[in-house]
Amino acid sequence: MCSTKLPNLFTSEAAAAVVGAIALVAERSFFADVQPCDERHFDELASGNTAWLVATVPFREGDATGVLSCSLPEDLARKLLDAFTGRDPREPQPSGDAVFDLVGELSNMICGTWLTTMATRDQSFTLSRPAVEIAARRPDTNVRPAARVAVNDLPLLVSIALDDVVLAPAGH
Amino acid sequence: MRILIVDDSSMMRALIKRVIKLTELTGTEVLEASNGAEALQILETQEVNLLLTDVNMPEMSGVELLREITRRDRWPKLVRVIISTDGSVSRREEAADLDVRCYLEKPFSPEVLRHVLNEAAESVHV
Repeated sequence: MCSTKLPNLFTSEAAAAVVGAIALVAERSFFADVQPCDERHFDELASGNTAWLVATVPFREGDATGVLSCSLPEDLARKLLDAFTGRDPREPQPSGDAVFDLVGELSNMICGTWLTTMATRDQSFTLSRPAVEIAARRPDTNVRPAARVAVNDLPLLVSIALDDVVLAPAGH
Repeated sequence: MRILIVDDSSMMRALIKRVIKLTELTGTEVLEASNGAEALQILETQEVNLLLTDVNMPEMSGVELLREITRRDRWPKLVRVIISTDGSVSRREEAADLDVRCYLEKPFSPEVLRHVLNEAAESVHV
């Protein structure tokens, strides 16, 4: 079962909405630049990063349920944390829990911003608490993502699974 | 003035605290809760002037918290602000029914939060 608007995910406008949500969150709250990436560029950016984190945010909008996932290198997560909190580089490094919390909040904001764009006018939504974990390996490029972007020249991949379907990027 | 921040993200609470420090609000004390149930416990024991709450939180959501505050009718002067990723019209309308003074949508810039804080503080009667 889906809400009246979410089935329209499989359009170029819907894919652009995901990139737009990432850009809005990154620029407003993290003062970061976001550029869309093709698969090859993403692979280049990803190749130098070995430690990855993945956050998953379950959501419900009307009758539709799904999960939004964000994968990013730990290096990017730590840079975003510094931007978000205004941490002075001379201060001690944030704990792993703080980094996980930051990645969860980033994913939460991307999901909420995307749903606000996509949701029907009279439909609010609920987000469950994000689950963040260390990824065993870099994101699988065989799984088609909703968006691949470079955030300050570091890779970020967002996937959205709606029930048993996955949002594919425009042009695929 | 005593401000209570209710958000399950410690990072978001840290950001809001940092912005509060940067505002021109003098003599403020900041309290924190990670969900609505914790916030209610604080409200029961300490006088709070300004409540800043997220919506989606475990145990008790921000909307459930605001409903409970309205139902108990013990804090009529408490100024209420929602800070949420949910910018839908229906959620905003729901907030308006719960006597919410401002609805700030995430993501926000620190400047916008400062503006909201200053505006909300003007409504506070200490």
